[in-house]
Amino acid sequence: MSDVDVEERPNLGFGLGLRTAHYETILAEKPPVDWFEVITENYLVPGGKPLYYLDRIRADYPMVMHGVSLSIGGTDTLNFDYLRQVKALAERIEPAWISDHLCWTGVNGINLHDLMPLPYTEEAVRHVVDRVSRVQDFLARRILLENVSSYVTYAHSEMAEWQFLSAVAEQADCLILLDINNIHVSAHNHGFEANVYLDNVPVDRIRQFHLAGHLEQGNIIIDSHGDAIIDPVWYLYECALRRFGPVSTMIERDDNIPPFPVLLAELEQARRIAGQLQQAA
Amino acid sequence: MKTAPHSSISLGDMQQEFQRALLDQQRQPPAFIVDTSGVSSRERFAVYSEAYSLRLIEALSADYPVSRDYLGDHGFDGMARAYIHARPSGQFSIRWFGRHLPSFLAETQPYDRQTEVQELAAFEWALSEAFDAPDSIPVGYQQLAGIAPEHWPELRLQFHPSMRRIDLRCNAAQVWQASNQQEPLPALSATIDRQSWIIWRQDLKLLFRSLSIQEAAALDAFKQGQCFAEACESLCAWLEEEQVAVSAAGFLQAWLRDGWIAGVKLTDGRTGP
Repeated sequence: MSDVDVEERPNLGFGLGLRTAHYETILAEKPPVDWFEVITENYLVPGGKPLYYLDRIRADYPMVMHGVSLSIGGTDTLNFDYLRQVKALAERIEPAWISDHLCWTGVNGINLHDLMPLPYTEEAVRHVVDRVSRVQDFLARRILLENVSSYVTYAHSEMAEWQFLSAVAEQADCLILLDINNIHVSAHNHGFEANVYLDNVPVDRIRQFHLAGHLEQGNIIIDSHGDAIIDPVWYLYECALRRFGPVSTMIERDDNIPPFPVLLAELEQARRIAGQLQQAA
Repeated sequence: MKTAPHSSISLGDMQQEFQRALLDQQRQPPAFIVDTSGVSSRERFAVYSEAYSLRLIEALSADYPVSRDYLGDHGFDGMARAYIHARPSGQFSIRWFGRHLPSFLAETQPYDRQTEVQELAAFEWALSEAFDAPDSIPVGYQQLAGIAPEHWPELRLQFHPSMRRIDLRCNAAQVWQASNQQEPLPALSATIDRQSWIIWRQDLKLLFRSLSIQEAAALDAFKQGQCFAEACESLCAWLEEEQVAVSAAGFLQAWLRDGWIAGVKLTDGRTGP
């Protein structure tokens, strides 16, 4: 199935999520961030501030679009009204790529506004593969799907999460946004080895990494994006770079958003880790 | 990984059951969610059910900050939970989740008797709509000044798409202002007369101001597609004939200043100069 060449993997470098709190700083100071990831839905609005800042920041930085409502694993029909708007936004800002999550977000026309995990079954693989193909045909480009963090275990899952993700990517001919923190979170919550996950997803499908902080809540870790990245996640990032080679890396921060320099310092740490590995190679 | 005691459940049925349990805020998780060593299925399911309400309350708090300020955390959360249960989101963006709150409050006890709370919510939602309404370049003074006097009677106007008209019987705008400036909130109270307000966006700034009855009538006339002469007629209910044109011209001048006029058209279809 695979006709993706890892040698041709575009590398945007080190990016951050575009957040409203930082609009003015970014425009005024043009900070040394290689690119920004924008939450697609935040810009599917008619006008005003969101699009004003988006266009101006786009003039200075490459961008990628990251959606949360595609519901690629949902069993409602695909929402082509939504997809038309996604496509129009992509025409406006020409993102390097478009991503969403390997999950479902609701049924019966309801949006739970959460990334609900799918059962890892052959049926779900077939279902998602069919929908990814239709979405990619409509958008006329490959999309990236991200592994979500999950907190429940389904009795009827038939395979491991990494097998599910790999099967979808290979069969649908789509790409993968690998969230390193989500692997750490799910490994803890479900008791698997994070490195086994890394070792079993196809190298040539990986296009982007996410890094983020999380929250420990009793026996479960919650993917909160509200804190600094912890050492075990940095270590896992290093392992991922060793396996996959240079990959566009981005830090997600959605809660307790700190001043921009704090995120720049965190991004610098990612740069340093990747730089040391490249020097050693 | 465990295999299969529930292998018969289809993907569609599983999603229906999971969603029902979430929306009903059941404590008991669906049977296909299993216990694992150290963490019960109930605890695992609770991560999703608790996050569901909290996320939507957070979205409502962002759209209705002054209602939250006015009702207090406890009062607002109770109202928000009732709304979340009654009106699950049907939107692909959480940005629109709160749009039915004003109508929900008008129809739901005990808020249906709290006109002030309804009006404050309506005022806040109008602000929220104006925030990211379509952009439009306002007409300048020059463009209007270039219209020959004989064509004025047939003049029609188009307005900035961010403009929202709201009629209030209470001091919601003053309460909003106080909250926005972090001053002590005046009590929400009914006013003697209904007061019309326009909420709009000028450049990127959200603004609002009140309208006199006459200005509101003139604006309504233009918004309904009437021409300048017809709008003047609607003012005859309040003004002497010789005052009407001057007064209407004064309104137009204020609307130009405020960036409300997005287009001018003459009756024969020509756009203004």
